[in-house]
Amino acid sequence: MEPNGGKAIMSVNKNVKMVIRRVSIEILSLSLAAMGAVLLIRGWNYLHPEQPSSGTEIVSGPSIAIGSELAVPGVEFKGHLMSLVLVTSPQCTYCIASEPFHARLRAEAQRNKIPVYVTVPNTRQAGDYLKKAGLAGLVTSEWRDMSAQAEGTPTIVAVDSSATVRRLWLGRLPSNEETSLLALVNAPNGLYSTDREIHGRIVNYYSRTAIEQSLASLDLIDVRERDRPAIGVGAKTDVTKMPLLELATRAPLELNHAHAQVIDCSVIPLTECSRAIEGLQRIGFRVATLGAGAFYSNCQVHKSPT
Amino acid sequence: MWPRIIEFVFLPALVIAATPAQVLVGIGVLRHEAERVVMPEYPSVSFVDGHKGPAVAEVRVSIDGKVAHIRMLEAPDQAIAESVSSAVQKWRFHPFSVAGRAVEVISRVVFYFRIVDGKPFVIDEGNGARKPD
Repeated sequence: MEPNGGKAIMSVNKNVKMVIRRVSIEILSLSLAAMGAVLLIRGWNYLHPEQPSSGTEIVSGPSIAIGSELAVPGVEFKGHLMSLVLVTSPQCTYCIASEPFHARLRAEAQRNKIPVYVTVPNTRQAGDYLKKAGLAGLVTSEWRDMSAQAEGTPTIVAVDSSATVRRLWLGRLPSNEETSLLALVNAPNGLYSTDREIHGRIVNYYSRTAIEQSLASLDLIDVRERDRPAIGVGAKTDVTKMPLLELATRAPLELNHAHAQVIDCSVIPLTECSRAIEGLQRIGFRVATLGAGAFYSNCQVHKSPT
Repeated sequence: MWPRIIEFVFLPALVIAATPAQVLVGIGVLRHEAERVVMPEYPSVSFVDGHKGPAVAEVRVSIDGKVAHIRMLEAPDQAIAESVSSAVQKWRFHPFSVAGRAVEVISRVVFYFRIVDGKPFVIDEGNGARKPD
């Protein structure tokens, strides 16, 4: 009995070892597959970074752009030196983080008799948020009712007495931009007199009209990727789309050296704006910018294809 | 103990280390490292129809310098897109590396399909103008 029993135990041990080995191999394969999936997802996310979202609302229409007109139902911009439109969303983390500043902006604007209007994705669902953000009681409309749409939230739009967008600020503002916006609210004439300012050695314009008055012939360049909508009303004829990655290659063949090239920096971060400036300057173009310093971290507004 | 450590720590680490990193490079950098360039033909149907303009493709170059993936981003028409895609597939590059480690690169190539004096031209900034055969 002893030898047979020993053999049986050895055989059981062998089987157990084999099972353990198989299970180990399967676990290993699964972990490798899982790691592969993780790497793929990370790679995908690296190549397609996701912006926080302003919510599920999908809007359509042109983008709010400096120099274009803005209409909000029930709002009369005419007769006011400056009006502010705050495009915000209860679902956007940057809007929530900006609540103290928005409340302060509202107070300062009220003190200076500058109207402030708020637009949200859905007025019925935004009641609590508006109260908490110190924005209750303001004229509030919905995004879809506006004639043009923000690229992201929060967006603060400064509109002049002819309903033209003069300045815009996109995203959660750094403290120096908050200060400059509050200074503008305290001296609203600045909306007209500070059309241009020096950004490095480059002239940065805050109004498209001012560019057209200063530069005889110009091209407005949008250096964002193709999947982003063109900027401005009827933008197709007004804006040359040339993604930043292709700028240095395509500009010499496609852009006119006799024209000043104005980069629309109101919708791109300053780092990208600087890269676009350098890229065009290196190949001998005269460069200016539009709305540089207006773009900060923001929640993306989803747009339906137009 | 050691077999488990090998299986669950070293092997996965090896897999991660062996997975090539991807780097985005400028168009000029990619062109500079090209060792074999095949120009796209101007498709006769596109020429006859007068279709012209820039064609832009996104390319992924594998660690051995071969084109692993092409995605057309812009083209005057489908025939030109196919012509570009088929030509760029044949391109070869010097393998790219970062800090001694082989990397895959992602970049773009741009061609201009132009009709000058009634004749078709394909232009790329690396090779200059070229008349199709």
